[in-house]
Amino acid sequence: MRDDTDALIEKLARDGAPVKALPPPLVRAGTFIAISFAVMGVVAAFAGDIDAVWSNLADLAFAASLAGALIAGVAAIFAAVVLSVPGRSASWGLLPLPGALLWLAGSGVECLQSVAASGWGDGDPFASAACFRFIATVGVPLALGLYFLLRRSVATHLTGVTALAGLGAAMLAAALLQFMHAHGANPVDLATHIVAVSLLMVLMMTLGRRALEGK
Amino acid sequence: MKVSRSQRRDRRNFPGARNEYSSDALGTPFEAMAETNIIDGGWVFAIIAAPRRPARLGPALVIPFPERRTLPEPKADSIETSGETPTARWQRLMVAAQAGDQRCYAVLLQEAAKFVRVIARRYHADGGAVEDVVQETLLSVHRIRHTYEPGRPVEPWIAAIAKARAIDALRARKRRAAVEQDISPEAMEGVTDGARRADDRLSAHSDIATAMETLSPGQRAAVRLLKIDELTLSEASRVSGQSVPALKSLLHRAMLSLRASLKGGRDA
Repeated sequence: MRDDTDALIEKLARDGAPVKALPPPLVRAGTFIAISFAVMGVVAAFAGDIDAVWSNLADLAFAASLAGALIAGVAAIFAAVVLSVPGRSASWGLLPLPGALLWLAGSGVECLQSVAASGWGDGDPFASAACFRFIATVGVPLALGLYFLLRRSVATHLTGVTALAGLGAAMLAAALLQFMHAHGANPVDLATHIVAVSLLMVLMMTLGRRALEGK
Repeated sequence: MKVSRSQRRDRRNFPGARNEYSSDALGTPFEAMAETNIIDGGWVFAIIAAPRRPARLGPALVIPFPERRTLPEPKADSIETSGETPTARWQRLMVAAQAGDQRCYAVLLQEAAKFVRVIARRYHADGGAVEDVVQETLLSVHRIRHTYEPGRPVEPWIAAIAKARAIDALRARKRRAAVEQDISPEAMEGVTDGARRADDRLSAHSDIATAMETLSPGQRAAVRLLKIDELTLSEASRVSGQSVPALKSLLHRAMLSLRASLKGGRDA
């Protein structure tokens, strides 16, 4: 058996062509986020309601949900890329937690404000279908980009990495969504956002994982 | 022997960690590191901080390479230790390997195999399974060697890959055991002879497919190329990029594994 291993080592050593080391994960993640922000900025500038966002930022709950979505998205992408390199601590997986909690807290307060002001609404569960479509439309290309970013490195923590990548893509999409609908979230909005984020995570953990496994 | 403050702290914090290399029980410092549970993060330094013993380390770490003439000479005198720590040595060898220095790469893989073997033994008692994990880990190391970030310790990088491959092998073994359990005598009771024969034929196909799923990707590829596609060893070697001995080894273990799975099914 060990002879086989020795033969394998000999073969691998002979095949050991020079390789270019990947840039550090923080640099790769930072570059991806910078490009994503540039594209999102263009979309927000042309299709979003920047003035309404500026005026809404005075509302602490809106500011918290927007900042939380951005922080969670950025942190999840950093964590996914760092964890995709073998040997890094699994604690990186907790990095998006504060941002996600801030997003949930901000959106939750917005929901309470909405219920206090105008009740529970008409209870139509599909009232926020446009939000769902937006998060999916923006989140899927981001997730695809993350797949291409991760495909050369991921070898361990596959489930965690794909979940974080899905979360990162979805949270950046949710942040961009804030620029599109300049009103605070109501309970149906929040539930729709959570479903869309969860769906993107599940998609990455299944399809993304399978693609990364088979690379 | 004079004990430094950092050594006293390490002994207090990591009572299980050895503070000097024991070449009797463990061949290299890296085996000692793996054996003492220090492969993750800062634990490494419990050993690194130990007193250096170049006289004991020097010649022992130079692994004889069977076909030295077939590989180019190292770019520098980079294989021998010169009083550097094991971590620094592996970092240097890994950086050289990334640059294409095949001699350094061979030495690194030889030493890494011992390190991985110690980790694999924590998960597997069977020697064949341990060797499978070692080989799968070395293949992974080769495939993703570009992900090693120069300047960082190599041990946690390799240890994480080894753990993942060891757990993969455990899962495969559990799946194999589940297949063997599923085919119980009770499941076959009440089946008429004719139906039983038809069922046997169907079941044989299904058993083979299920048993194939329990093989590692390398073993599966070897079976497909050599037994199903009926390629010669050299053709299969060209197609798969594996050496002929590696292919033979993969096929041998695959056949053992298949035989064990299918024999379990027939016995039941």
